Amino acid sequence: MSKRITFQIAGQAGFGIKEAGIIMSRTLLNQGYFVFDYSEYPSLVRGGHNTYQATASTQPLDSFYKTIDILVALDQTTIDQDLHKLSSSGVVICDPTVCQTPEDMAERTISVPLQEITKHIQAPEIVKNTVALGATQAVLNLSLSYLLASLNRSFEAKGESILKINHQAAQEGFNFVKEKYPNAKLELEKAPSPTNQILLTANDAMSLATISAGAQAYFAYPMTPASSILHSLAKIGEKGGIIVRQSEDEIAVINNTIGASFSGIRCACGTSGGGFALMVEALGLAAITETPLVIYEVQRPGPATGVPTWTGQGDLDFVRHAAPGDFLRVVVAPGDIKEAYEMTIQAFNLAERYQIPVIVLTDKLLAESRQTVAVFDSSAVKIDHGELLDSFDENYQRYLKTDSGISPRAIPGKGEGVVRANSDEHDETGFSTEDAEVISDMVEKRARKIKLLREELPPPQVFGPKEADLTLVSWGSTKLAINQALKELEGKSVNHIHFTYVSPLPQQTEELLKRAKRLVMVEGNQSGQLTKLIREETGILIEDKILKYDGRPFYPEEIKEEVDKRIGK
Amino acid sequence: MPLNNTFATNIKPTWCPGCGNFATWAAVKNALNEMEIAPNNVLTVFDIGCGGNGNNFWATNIFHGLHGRPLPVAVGAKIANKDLTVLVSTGDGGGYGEGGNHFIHTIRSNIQLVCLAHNNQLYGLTTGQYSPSSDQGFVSKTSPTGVSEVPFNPLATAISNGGTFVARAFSNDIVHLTELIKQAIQHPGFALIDILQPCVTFNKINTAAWYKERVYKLEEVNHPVDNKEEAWKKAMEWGDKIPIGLFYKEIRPTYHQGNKVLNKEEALLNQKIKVNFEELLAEFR
Repeated sequence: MSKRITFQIAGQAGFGIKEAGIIMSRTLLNQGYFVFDYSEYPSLVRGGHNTYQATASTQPLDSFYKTIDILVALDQTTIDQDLHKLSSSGVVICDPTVCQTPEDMAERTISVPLQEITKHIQAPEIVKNTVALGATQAVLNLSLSYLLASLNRSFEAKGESILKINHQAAQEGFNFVKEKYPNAKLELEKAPSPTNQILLTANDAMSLATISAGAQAYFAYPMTPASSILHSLAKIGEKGGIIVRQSEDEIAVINNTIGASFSGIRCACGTSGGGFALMVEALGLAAITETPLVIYEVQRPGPATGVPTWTGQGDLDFVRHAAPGDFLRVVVAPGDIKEAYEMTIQAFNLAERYQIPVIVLTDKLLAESRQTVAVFDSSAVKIDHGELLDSFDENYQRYLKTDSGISPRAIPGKGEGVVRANSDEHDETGFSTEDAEVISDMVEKRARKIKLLREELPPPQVFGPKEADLTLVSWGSTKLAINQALKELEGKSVNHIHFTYVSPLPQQTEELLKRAKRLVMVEGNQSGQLTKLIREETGILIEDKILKYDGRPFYPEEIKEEVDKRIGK
Repeated sequence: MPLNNTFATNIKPTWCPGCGNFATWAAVKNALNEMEIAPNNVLTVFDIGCGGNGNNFWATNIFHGLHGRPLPVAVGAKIANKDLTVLVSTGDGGGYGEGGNHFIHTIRSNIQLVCLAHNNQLYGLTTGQYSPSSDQGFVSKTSPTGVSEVPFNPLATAISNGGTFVARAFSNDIVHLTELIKQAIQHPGFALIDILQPCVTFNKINTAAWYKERVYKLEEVNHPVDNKEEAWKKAMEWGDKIPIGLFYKEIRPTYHQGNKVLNKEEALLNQKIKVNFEELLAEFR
């Protein structure tokens, strides 16, 4: 009996892997398990190799595991490509007429005639994945009722006959294993009582956050892996009273967002690195016009088209520096699903309070992986519009010089006066200027906003013992693998400093890092972008770096291995 | 400073004496005054260029944006607050070249905006390079042997992409332009006025006299404004005869009318989102 198990189902695009994944995750969630799932898929509509894996545990999970305990292979490619991930006691479920496992795997291969069963119950071929899910419940020694309930959720809308056939398929798969492989059990310990949890991706969380923050419009051009935010919000759309617009290109998207924000609504736009590249000039426009702007940038490996459906952390340098001229922006990189929700809401508050661009920087790993979290409490959300005026007269000056650098903000049409926004450098009223003193004053006014901003940004988080021989440093989604690895390293002298606010760097950074005995940076890019940033701002050079840039996320197993290498087992 | 019906700030215009921008500005002022629209209910989104420098002289709400990008800003603004009269001031450079993609797709949406394209057939502020609307053979700093490309046709582009108000004017005829601007502001949908404006400093070919010799009013030849084919024919006419006036007008649902939320009585910024959060969470349980 184990506290934790990792399941993977894989096959070609078109085999319904994605939906099978949601069904499986939900099945585990509704029994009370903590779940973390992760999918891999190529940039294709049919064919290729799609995988879905989920780690289920009786304890909270920060990450999925690479090592698989149950591998459901719907084609031979899965055996060829993923068998190496199987644990020494792991099992394979597959159709013997489709897949061949190596000789030495005979004992741990559960042959289920998926095609035959599917044909027998007169189901379309895609339903073979449901047969496999049924078989999986038997191996895990779980009650089939949760899978059946999960199938209801997925297929209710598709009608009685589809539902019935899927139930049948699940039952057949389940019965087959119970009958033919009664001893093949990878039993999972019973789950703790189900608590008020939800299971969702960071994209789901950010869609919810967009609503909770009171945004009334979302603009985007589809780009993997940000598109599902656009899809989710489009579904809510008219019924929910929000405008979701797919504009002609990313330049239109960001300019739409700026125009709407200037005119008085909270709104956001989203994209990935390549789309953000097109938005760069307008990033500066938002900054110089001091228009609150929120951008979701969901990373994938670059440069250029890069690896569209895979993950990476290579855009930090870019989003921190993009656009000509010096100006203040905030870059926040949530480390898990809860942070994706909370920090996105906070992004809107920061954007309005400081009248600057705020970029929420995530990646494919977070965007498309599901993690169990406590249900979000939208009533606890705080909305801060900053210094928003509800009236103003003809003497109003949009860019009034203040000690804080923040000028009271008026909405056009909401007062007796007029509001002027200018992409030219401008005076306090908003008229274009070429005067030396006025230019300096304005540059300094915008720059001094950083003082208040720095004071309110939270410090980096520290996980593990306060003092340790080894300190891992990370940002964004790398939090997941490291914190999960720390659970296996309990008792060892290792801790973790994690950054979510990466620009500006929190003012406690230097002190925190200096206290560490030995620093190791862990990040998903080739040049060590956070490493360089830390050196730039604090002088501290982290020489020991664990870098990954193959499109894959960090795994807790590899983090543990790297730590063991350095401080001994 | 106090707002009044001069729609003018205290800043002296920096346009060259004789610039077509003076005339266009006068026509806009006249139109807004005749329609009794208050300056604080107007948003003018400016492109970058000589026309764009007008942002400092006009007294309405102002957004002086990036080169080629006033249309998407205006779209965002109109989505947020449909109660604003939104005017876009752009040119043959920003509007038809740099911002060509936005030109095409904003027209398709039929969102209610007035697009005033100051068309002087070259780039003025950057000192005289050719533009998308320069005639073939036009010699400039960047076309020393004459422009080889066929000029961009904004009116034909508008007509073929669902334009519902397609017009051209000549800035010297301020009365005619004023009338077109009034109609454009009242038009429920996207209104384009391609305004032929002489650039006295850099364009020695397409001068006021050159235009005067060629322009004729569509109203005076009984042009039917509800006929796309006739409009197209006129849009393809250029050279010895240049038609001005309203080429085509059509009523079809605007962007706002096609959206239940935007079509409400209240502008979006005065509405509240009404999403049942619990319902949204149900999907993730």
